[in-house]
Amino acid sequence: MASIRLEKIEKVFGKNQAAVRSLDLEIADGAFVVLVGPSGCGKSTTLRIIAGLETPTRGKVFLGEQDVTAFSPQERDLAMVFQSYALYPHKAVRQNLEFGLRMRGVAPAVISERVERIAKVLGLETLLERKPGQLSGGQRQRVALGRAIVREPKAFLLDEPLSNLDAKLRVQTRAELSRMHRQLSATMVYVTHDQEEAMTLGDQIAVMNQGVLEQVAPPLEIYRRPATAFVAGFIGSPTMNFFRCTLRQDGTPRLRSSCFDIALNVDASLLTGEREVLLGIRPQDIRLAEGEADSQARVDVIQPLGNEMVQHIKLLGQDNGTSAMMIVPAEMTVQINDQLGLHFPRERLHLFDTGPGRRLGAAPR
Amino acid sequence: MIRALVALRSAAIVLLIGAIVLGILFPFYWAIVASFRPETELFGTPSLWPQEWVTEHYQKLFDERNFWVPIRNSLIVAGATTFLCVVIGAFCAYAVARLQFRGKAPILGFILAVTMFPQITIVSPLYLLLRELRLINTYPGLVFPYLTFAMPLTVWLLVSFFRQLPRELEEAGLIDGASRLRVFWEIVLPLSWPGLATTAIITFIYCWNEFLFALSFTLGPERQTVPVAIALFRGQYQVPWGQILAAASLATAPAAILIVIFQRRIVTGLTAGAVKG
Amino acid sequence: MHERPNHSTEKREARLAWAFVLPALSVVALIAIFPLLWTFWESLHVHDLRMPWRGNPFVGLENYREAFTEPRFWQALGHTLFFTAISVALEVVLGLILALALNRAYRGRGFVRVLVLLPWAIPTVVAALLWRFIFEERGIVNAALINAGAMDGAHPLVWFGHSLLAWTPVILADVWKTTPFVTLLLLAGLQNIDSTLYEAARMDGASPWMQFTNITLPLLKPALLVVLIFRTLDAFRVFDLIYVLTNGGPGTSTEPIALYTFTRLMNNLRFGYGSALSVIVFLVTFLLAVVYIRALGVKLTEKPQ
Repeated sequence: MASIRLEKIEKVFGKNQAAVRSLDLEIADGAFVVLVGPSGCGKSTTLRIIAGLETPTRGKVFLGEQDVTAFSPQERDLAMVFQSYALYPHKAVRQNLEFGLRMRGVAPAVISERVERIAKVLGLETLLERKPGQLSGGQRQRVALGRAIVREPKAFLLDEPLSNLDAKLRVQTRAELSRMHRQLSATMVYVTHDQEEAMTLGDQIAVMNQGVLEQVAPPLEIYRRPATAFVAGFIGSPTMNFFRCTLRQDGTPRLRSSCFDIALNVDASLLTGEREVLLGIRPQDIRLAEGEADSQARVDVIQPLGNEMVQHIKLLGQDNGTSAMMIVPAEMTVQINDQLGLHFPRERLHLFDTGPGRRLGAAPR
Repeated sequence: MIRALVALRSAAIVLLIGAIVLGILFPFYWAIVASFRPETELFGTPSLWPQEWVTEHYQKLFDERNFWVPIRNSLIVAGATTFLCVVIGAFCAYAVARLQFRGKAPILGFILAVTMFPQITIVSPLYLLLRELRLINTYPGLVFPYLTFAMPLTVWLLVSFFRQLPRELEEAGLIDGASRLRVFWEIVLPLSWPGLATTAIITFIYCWNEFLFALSFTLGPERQTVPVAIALFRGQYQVPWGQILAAASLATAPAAILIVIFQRRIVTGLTAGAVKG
Repeated sequence: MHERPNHSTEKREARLAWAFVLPALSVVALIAIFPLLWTFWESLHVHDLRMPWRGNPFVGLENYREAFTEPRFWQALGHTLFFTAISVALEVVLGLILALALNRAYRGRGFVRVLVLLPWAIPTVVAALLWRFIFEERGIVNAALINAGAMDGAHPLVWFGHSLLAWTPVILADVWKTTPFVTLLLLAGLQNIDSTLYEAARMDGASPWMQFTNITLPLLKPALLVVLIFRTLDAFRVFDLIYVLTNGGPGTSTEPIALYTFTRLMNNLRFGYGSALSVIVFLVTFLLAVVYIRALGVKLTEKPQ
């Protein structure tokens, strides 16, 4: 196993179509890092650069202490699981599992011993002589995993390996992947567009957007202290509410918009004068006011989910109101057009600057 | 009312297709049937179904004209050309389809341009060249000129076949530790034999049918290919139609058989090369 | 640890690519491009194989001057353009109609496909002979016309003896042999069109004709272009068909440029002059291709991604 380090990686396709911009990423030996982001954000390109399938336009790739930027894939000794599985259709399962070992000149006795062992672990013993075409989707996925594991590579690269499975199998396989990672204590880099998958799988999550790495952190930190407005909006479901407002300091700092005017108990020295900011609050964090309300809202749409309920609300203000979402317990009795008083818990507010969307200062208290 | 119109339209389409099917088939039918008619029944007002079936034209074709010779020549020349083209062309096509290198687009354009230029433009230098090399009226003297049109055709067809293979399979091979060459041998080639076979069939048919080079670079019956032999059939007093039609029927046979067996693949090959290419 | 530049993987791949490409490329260059250059060189010299004692002196553009002042050359060029225009137009129109019809029919598609391939797959020489047999003086066409009372039985029409009517079997044979292929290509183009587009258009209330002009034709343009280019260039080099059907006759009234060139080369053995004719054929072909690609504005090597 080995650590992986990317230094100032740039990838430009064609003339000036930048897929990855100045990306630095350090993946510790044995870590499970999930690269997540919307489609086209450069996460797959990054993975393929690690694999050696793409050459970076600039920057360096290190495996352990070795600079492998100029190495071809076959010299890197990594394993990859593809979204389409990419099983060799003309080879039986056994030959699929053997191929990588054979290419690396492993002794035949060792090969068959390892293949048998992996097949047993993954429950593929009875399928060894079948062709991939004769397997179910789940079985193919296992073979693809087996083909990677049997190699005992320096690291595993997984490119949306679960996206072709149905929902139930996907949840099951996620748990299995976590277990596998623990047992192998292997370095894994996992690409997905699904933020929930990222949260459940990774010890570190790297969020990418438009070729830029926005934040790398453990799942809970990503969720609790998103470094940018993009991360805040991308992670978590339903997506975070954002309000444009003015941050102003008259003694105590206040956030003001047409819908609300709330006092913050923030360390005042962080903030000077008056500025436009983006206020973020998760739908789960909005409370019903017990005393004085921070804002008034009208219920627009109600979507019961069973144990809870999603309410689309309009914060009442000068204009037609600002749309937002909140989650309330399913027991709450509420009807469309009901008016609610809302409370925004101060410790759950996120402030971002309006330009690049960087997080402002420490979390407001 | 509308339903009646729709029915009428589909009936019209069926009729149209039927008429066209008959139009396509009739010349074949007429020629094959005629090749079994006695000489006297060939012209005049012949019946759609012959009154008498004879095989004398076929017998004469082999006994008097030794039609085996052109068949053998055609098989050798078309077979050798096809073999050379597929073997050499597969490498070229794979590189163009998959490998990254400068000059890919010009190469493809060049190949396309060569398939398009008229054969007649190189008949004179090829003749002089072959004469210099003493290859006029030999098998190599046909195979080499045939490469001019067959090689670009093969490469063109194979490029579109290779492009259809899923790229991840090759990437999986590379990551598994195989070299590019190894990936080509162990993954690409075994998976593309249908494409290779189809390309071979199409190339073979083109070579089997070629006329201008075969006419220009052979001197006598001993090296003539089937099309040339048939085109140059002459009788002493009149055109030997019975034998011509018998030979024509035989010349059609290989292509017809290949097509009946491989029609789906051939259609895919031809249209992929042209429409998507 | 060895230092390697960033792009050495790419370099290795490029090296392998050239090793793969070079054999085929050099074969084509050696037997197609080199002879083509030779043709240009020959065309500037006198080279008569019947009169080897004349050697092959350089004569500049004399061969071209001779071609341009010879009526038979202009006639041959005219015949070729005439044949190309008529047969390609017929083939594309018929092919489009047939493709549209086949695109609807589902049953018996395999059978129709075999059928469509048959005329394409047989040697042109054989196709020419079949049609010559059909149009012979006492052949089935005349017999049918006499039966129908459209022709005098005592004086059957000699199709191949009439300088204009001789084109009938020529063009018919070409249409018969190549329309099916055109159909196949257009059918593949039609099948690439997303059928939900038609459903959307029908929901929007478009008539079949509007669907054809607004969806089918624009989306079929790449396929049509390919067909037009291939067929035009193919028709322009017509040789086998006419060589066997009419041999350019009666007289030289159906003689195309390729046949005229062939006669000068292989029968008269005037290689210099014949080469000049070859160069002209090449240039006209080249011009046609450029005009087409410019006019229809599609790049042939463009790949749908």
